[in-house]
Amino acid sequence: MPTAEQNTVSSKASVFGLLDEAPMTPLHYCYWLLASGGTLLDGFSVVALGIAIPLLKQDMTITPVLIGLIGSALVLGAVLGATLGGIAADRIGRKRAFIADMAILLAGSALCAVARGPGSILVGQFLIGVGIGIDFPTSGSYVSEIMPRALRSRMTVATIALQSVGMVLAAITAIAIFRAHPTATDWRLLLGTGGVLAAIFMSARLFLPEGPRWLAEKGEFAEAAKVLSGLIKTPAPLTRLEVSESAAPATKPLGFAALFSPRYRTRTLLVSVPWLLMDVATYGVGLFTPVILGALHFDSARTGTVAAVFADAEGSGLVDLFLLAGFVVGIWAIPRFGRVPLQVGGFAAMTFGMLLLMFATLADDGPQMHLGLVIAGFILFNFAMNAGPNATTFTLPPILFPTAIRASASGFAAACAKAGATFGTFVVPQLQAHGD
Amino acid sequence: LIAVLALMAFVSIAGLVATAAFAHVVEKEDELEETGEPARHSG
Repeated sequence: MPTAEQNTVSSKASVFGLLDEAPMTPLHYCYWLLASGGTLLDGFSVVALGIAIPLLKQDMTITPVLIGLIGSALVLGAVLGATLGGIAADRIGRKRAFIADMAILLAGSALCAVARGPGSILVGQFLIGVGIGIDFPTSGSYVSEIMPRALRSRMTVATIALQSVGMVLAAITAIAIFRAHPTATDWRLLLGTGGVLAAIFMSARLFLPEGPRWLAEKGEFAEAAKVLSGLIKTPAPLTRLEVSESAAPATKPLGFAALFSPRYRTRTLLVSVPWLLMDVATYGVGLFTPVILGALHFDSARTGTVAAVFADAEGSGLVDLFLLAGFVVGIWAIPRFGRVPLQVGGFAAMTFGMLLLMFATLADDGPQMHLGLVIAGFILFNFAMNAGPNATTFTLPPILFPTAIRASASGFAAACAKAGATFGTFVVPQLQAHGD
Repeated sequence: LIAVLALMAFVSIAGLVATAAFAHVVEKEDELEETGEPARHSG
């Protein structure tokens, strides 16, 4: 006679097996879209803030220190949100974390849109960062948990690819706002649009079902069966699941500390260290963005702040479209080459791209005179990053950790990445200034 | 600028090495699972 533990494992295996082998349905795509709203808003928020800052400087008295703090609030909020959000998503469920992060994003965006001073914008951006941080581990876990095995890697990369879509959307929104209403207060509309998107996603996520793997992990097999029946459109296996519900969960629950246990610590290092390093390296190529935009005639030579910001928005949109192309290649390449080879190859190509930029900088007459090299290095670096590590680092934690600690692991890795971004954005410029 | 770029190139190489090294150890310990739910670490 099977023991309670064997029954539990057997029924969890049933849920996992049915999800793995299920055919892809329109519902899968619908759930993917709703789950990917946070990564979309991540890209949107970063670009919207970048476009808004020159207008903010014109519209209100704001010191350079405050500008730096506002930029850092977004990233630091994400560090906090990712760490706590991953743990929360494992404890209270993916759906509750999804709704909470959109509510926080909405509150942060609303605060920015109606801000009377830089303090409100600072708090608002921190809240937006917290919301984005919570969403990162939740969306990666949820999407990988509901997708059939055959499309799991592609759809998880597609989730992080929406970051680039969000960037393009922010540039398009800015261009539309500047065309319809070119004033220095346009930053309110732009930052407020993020809140509108968050409200739409939050409302839609109320209809999103809880992840069936998480439900099974918690022993809620009847609920898992309901979600599964909607996804796979076959009631037959549900009897098996409902029967096994009588078996009490007998396995010892894993917690956040398990990430650093001998069993999982190498996996934790694998998902967090390369992601941190990638986010540091991302800063380096950002130094060349003004050169690239200037070469493409998206420089700020137009008269007036709004006109200059409009030009920057056009240039950003073009560069962001290119970043999206890298993700598209990543979606195609990951199932063919595997995550680790693609990540290793991506880092190698990023190094080569950076060497091209170094060569252009070392040349006697400066990088402006070697635009071909600069553009080649810039394109290679960004393409390799998005087709490689930027796609794979997001998808590795969900496949390397079990359901009980999947979001915690994803959150810890994302928090390390955001810490790397903080280093790249704020420490490296200090080093550069010191060197000058 | 060149020092910063050199640092970034170094960081990219470090990412490559870290990925390869940790993935090698993980593959030795246990094959990389597509589901994250290998029987040996269920629960």
